[in-house]
Amino acid sequence: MTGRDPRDGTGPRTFQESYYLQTDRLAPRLWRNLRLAGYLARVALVWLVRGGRVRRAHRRALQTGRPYYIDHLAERD
Amino acid sequence: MRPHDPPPPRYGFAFRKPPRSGNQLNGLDESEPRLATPVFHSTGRGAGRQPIAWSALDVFFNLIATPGPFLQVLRTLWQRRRYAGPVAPTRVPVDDPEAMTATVKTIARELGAGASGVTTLEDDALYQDYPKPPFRYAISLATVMDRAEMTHVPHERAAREVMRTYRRGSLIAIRLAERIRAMGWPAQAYADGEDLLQIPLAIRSGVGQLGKHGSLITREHGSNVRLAAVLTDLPLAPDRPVDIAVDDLCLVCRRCAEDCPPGAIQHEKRLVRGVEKWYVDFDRCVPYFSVTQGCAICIEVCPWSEPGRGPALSEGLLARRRPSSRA
Repeated sequence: MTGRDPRDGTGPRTFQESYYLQTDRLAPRLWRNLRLAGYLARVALVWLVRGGRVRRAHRRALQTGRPYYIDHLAERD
Repeated sequence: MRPHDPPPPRYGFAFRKPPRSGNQLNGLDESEPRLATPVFHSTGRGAGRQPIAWSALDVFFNLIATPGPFLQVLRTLWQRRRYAGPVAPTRVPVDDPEAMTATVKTIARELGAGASGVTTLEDDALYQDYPKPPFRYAISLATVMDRAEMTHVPHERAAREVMRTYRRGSLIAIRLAERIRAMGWPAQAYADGEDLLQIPLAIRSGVGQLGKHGSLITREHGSNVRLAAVLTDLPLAPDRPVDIAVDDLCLVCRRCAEDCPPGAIQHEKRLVRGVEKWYVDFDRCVPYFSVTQGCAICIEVCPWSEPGRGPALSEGLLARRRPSSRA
């Protein structure tokens, strides 16, 4: 989620700001759906690629007994 | 029921720099009331704040999800675009809020909700620094999980059912909100998102009571439910909190505490942000919750969650309080 803070004009954009619509018009809905589909494709790709790496590292940690440090996964500013 | 072969609370992951205690962030042993702080599972970044304290574990939890639950999450996210929408230009007048409340509950039941209730939107359902949603009333909705699937806690099959129920609950909230907007009143669904605390809404709207395991207990379905809500300005008559004798059982029952692998459930109520209530040790619960894709042992072993048992349990416990039953 990227964009700005509704309060001060900075910071990430919420799901609500990005994808909620107050109109029934077709064109904005199609454009919104396209953007949301793109977002979900990115989420799926991250789960597949980055998640694959994390799942492998976690399995290896369980087998070897050496911990897998997860601090680097924290969301950044 | 007994949980199927729960893994021991030993973890493959660790922190180089552990996050601040979730119990501290949650306000454990604080005597002054305050709004809740987002700790885990949060879209809080969306409002421009700092990342939540436990975001590393939150991301880890999401990334290690197996395909079944993950696909349910994607489907729910796709549905989420319908949480808000245009309001019909002509407003249906509401002369009798109580009758409208009954109508809304009937619609909720027809849409598949296992229980519903109405309350006003108060601070106890809000996170600090989050903008307060511009609505007066909250309709709390409980969606019942498939008990046969949930007996597989704490494994993938149960996790998939949990996510499937969140998706169903979100659809019920979406459709109810759409019906209200079609009457010309603003309404918005709040389901899988983390912008609201669902349990305080459910308690104040009489959907159930807080159990020792930190989850809601409903009269009919115990804790075998997931919560969603619709916020609206449609004039409604708020319900009152119910007393179904949850405390009478939880004060003597040790079942969820004994079956909790990390030992996170406590036998006494604690002071949390100025309110004495049941509290689950966050720092013990959430690591286990994360590696088991949502655990849920405590809510399924709860006697109240056994199908058909809740109403009789409640009646029996309430009857014991009456003076004649002690004679």
